Amino acid sequence: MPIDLIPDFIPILGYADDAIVVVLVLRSVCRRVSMEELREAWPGSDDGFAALCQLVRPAAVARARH
Amino acid sequence: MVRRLRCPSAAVLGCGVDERPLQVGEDPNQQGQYEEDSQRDLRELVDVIHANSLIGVSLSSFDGTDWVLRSLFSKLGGRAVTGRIWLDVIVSLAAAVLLSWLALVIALAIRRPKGNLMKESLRLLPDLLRLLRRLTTNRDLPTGSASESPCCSSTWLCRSI
Repeated sequence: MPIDLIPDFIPILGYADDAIVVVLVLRSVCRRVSMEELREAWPGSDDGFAALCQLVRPAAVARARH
Repeated sequence: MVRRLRCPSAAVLGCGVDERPLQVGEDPNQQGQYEEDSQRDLRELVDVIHANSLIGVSLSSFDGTDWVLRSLFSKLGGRAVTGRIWLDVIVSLAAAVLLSWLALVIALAIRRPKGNLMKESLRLLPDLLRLLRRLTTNRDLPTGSASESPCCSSTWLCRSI
């Protein structure tokens, strides 16, 4: 059985650990493909893609800025 | 057109199922003979998932016993919410997608988009759904070695909810 780091009956904080795991999974899904393939698969705008990259590939975003 | 998922079976088979719960008035010594049943149900579930790309469709056309699904769901960390197993799975996935959307909106707000923040946020949800579908059904994309495909990972989206 999976472990719940913070029990869900604690308001707000209880769901924060769930959110972290969801984001980690989203990252692992998106990191299986290259940046170019991810851009190709993203149907939305550049702003949206920038937000997605911020979330799933922050290191690449930081490198691109320098 | 039915698009096949790339490798959903690994996640399902990897979990296995618990022993079948005893029915009222059943002889505990007969438990062993149901192992065959559960194996058959598992194989059928994998076939059904292979044939459908939508999880809701997969589960509703699964003909095996309910407890196999229930056991898998609880092993993946799902919690019973509605009492109906396929509804629970759908609720979990929806919650996971909503949480991902929320995280994207926060990332978008931090980056301050050129366009309207409200409009861009609303666009993100359908975009996210389409992205997940493309990543999980596209056979041309390379498969990772650890869990074989993004699809396996996306089934784990419901893990923590």
